Amino acid sequence: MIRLLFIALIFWTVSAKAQELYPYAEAASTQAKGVPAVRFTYENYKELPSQRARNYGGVRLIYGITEKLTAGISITGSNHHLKKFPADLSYYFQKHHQKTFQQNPYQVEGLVASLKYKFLNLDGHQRHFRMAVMGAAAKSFIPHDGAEPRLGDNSGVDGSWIATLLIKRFAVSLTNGYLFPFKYKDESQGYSFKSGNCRYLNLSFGYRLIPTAYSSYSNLNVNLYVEFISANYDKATMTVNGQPYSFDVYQNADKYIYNSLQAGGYTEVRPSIQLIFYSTTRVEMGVASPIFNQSYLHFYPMYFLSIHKNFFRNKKADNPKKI
Amino acid sequence: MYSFFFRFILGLFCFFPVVSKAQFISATLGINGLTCSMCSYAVQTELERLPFVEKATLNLNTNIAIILFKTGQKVNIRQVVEAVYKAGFSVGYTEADFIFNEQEVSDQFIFSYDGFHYQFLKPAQLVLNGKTTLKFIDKKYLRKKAYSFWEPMIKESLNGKTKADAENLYHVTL
Repeated sequence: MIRLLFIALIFWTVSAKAQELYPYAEAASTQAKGVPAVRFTYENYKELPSQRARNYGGVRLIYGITEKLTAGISITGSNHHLKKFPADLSYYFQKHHQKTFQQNPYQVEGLVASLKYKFLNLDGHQRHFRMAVMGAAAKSFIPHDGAEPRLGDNSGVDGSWIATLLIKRFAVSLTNGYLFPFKYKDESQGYSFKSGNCRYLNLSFGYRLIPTAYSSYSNLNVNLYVEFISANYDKATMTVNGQPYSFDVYQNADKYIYNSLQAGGYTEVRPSIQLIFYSTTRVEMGVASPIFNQSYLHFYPMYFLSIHKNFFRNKKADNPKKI
Repeated sequence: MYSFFFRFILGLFCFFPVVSKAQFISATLGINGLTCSMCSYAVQTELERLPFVEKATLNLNTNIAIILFKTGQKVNIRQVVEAVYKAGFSVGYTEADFIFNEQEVSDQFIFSYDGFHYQFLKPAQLVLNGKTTLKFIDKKYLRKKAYSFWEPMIKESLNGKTKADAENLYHVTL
């Protein structure tokens, strides 16, 4: 039933005619030159079987270096991880999703820097097609414990290309990328852990629901989005004192933990709603649900909220003028 | 020696006519690639930052920007167009209203104003009087398809000119 609903939603968005300010994916468009922006991101889900709330947050600063080049730097934090792997790995890999296991602390997890370069720009009246390449690098301060990598959770590098088409109120964007996580090393305990290399493909649709016609910059914009996130990744590898560490012994313990260490692939859908206030501030909220297999970075449903503020360089009064 | 003297004398007379009692009043730009108010606001704020702009108004539904210039200030149309590109968008057409006073023009006619030169290509009228809309036809000032019509004439006009001279020369039509 849910799948049918999603399929119906896709056909509706395609047949209708938005926006490309996607809550999850980056569009190929870049930030206006000299304009800074700040973006807060929050994610929440319940860990199973512990029923504990897991929270993730990030702050990202964005700046348009030129009209074609946008830079970003983020700091992320959560209660997803311990500060370091415990000495008793066996207990950890069997029990860390149980309520009896110690609670993870809230901590800063990583720094991520990114550059996006728009290399193709075909504009028409109320339409454009743009393509961009994006690179990102991250330094993580915590031990990520899953096969699927994420910049910030992992130190690593990421490269992707993006194509975005916008026609009037409808926008569609495709992102294809590769994430190469670096090895985490804990020399004091003789551990090393490496998440798998990851290939991902995101397909995002957006539609501007209101206003159908503008009367002022103060008009509230309501945009609807459906984003499909697909990834496949290699298995996690770990060494203890230089020797390979096998996760096979945990096969019959917590299935979720075991699966999260194996190679995998999935597609999830992220429907969301976006409100834009005064043409400067975006508020987005949505939920992630699995379609094919699932991500082991988080449990479902995962709720997300983001707030994005552009600081346009007004010369005169800050109040946007009426048209 | 004779050659140098001849060139010197010729140079004294080869200046572009300066249009007096003239000025740019406003410009109208069709902005391409825009659909939402957040993007439009990025364009409008860039236009309003220009020191010679009195007021910029961007219609969010038609994506047409009307820019009023301050009187008595040097207007740089190139900076107006660049402001749109800085915001991440492009220009579909560029027009500016200019006050003429019984000015005779012809194909290839060049006049100077405020340090910039404006060359007419295929003007539809031969005498300009009062408020006249000049259509700018250089690359990036209009759609690529429309520019392709003017491109050979503009390239011929720029042939042999230095980069500095080319930057100060606009091509316009009526």
